[in-house]
Amino acid sequence: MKKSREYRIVRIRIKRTKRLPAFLTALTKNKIALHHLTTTDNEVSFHTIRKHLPTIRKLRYQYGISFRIESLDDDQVLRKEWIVYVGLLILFAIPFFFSQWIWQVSVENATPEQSEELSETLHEMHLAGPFMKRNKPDDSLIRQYILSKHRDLSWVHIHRRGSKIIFEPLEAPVIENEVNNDSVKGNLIANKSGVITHFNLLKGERVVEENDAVKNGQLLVSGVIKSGEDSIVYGAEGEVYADYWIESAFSLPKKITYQTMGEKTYHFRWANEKKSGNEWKIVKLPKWFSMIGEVYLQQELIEKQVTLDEKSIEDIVIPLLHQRYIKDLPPKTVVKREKLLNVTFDNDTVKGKVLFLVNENIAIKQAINQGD
Amino acid sequence: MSKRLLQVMPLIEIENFRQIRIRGDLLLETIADHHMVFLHEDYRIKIEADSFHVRLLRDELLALDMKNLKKIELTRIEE
Repeated sequence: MKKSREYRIVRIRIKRTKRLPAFLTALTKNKIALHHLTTTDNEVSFHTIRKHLPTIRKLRYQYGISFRIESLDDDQVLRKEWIVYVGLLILFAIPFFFSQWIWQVSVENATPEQSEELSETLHEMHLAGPFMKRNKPDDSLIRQYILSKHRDLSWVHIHRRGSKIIFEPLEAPVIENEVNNDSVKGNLIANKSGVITHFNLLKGERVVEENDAVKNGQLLVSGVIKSGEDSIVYGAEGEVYADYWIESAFSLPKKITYQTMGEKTYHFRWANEKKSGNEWKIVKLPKWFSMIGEVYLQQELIEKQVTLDEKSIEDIVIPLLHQRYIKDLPPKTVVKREKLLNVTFDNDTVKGKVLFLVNENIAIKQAINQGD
Repeated sequence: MSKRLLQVMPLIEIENFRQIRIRGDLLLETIADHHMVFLHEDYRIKIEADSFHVRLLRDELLALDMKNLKKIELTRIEE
């Protein structure tokens, strides 16, 4: 710092006297370089560096000359000093460095419970706190993981705005429980084979017990109460849950190409330019601006290719099949376990079988033939 | 001195009659608004112009910008 001060430029103004030329010559003979020497009415001024000031002062007494010193670059911000360069470097480096991080992760448009669960999952993925942008896994991988953890979600939007990531979970549509209005009194029988796990009965008498294996069509809950020789048709109502396995075969091309949504970007188009096909939304601007052009949002579509291997079967195919089955099965159905039976890799196709252990209400009502 | 390696002989360069560069032993004799006098080796150089701007003056080198040069006078100093 001290050293660089020595090289700061000063302006020296000297009153014009007879001995001035001799003084200036003496300066040059003392190896002092004078820059930008100009003459005004009664003054001569020049630039030199601070380092020479002691020599100049010494010579000044010899020649009996008075002068004024003006610092030129004290109020100049960008001086040619290393400290200024270091400062500039830091000035640009700090924002650049901090822009390499994701600082804020938030969950929007979710119920408090959902956002709580989601942030827990994000925490597991080490995506909760500040992390480097380039350490962030691909959006589709994050989405896959979240969807495999939260089966009640159908999609997670991932937006990135600067150093902020916003997760927006979309709930899977809840299929309304069909209200069974038929007042027909009857028994409950099994419509699938399985092992009974629990009952949720409103009316009726159990015929089978928990952990019993039942077959399709077997009577589960009787709607007839017998007292002595009379039998009263009372009607059974409720749900009987049973575990059963679903076997599912799949056959997929080995290479799967799919598109995911990337970032939204703003683009400008001149008024006479052709419309491009991939614009998503036109930004509202003042009317006079439409004379010049349009600004539109473009949704980037990232094409991705996945080559299936044994690991990606677990990661991709099973959750997909899971989603498919859970969609087809009635509500309250739980998939307890998934098991990959076998996978065979051909040249370009992957075939395999997956077993799902499903827990579902297997009871359906069967009217009792009352005879009279 | 490094410039000695490149330039040993005294030299005067006049560029476009607006700039003058003098190399060699140099003494400033007079400095005024409209004229300057230098002693260069055995000669006296008197330059007259509307205004002067000495870009650099140091030992054995002068770079001078002139506006509207009127006269350059070179006379041998007779002892």
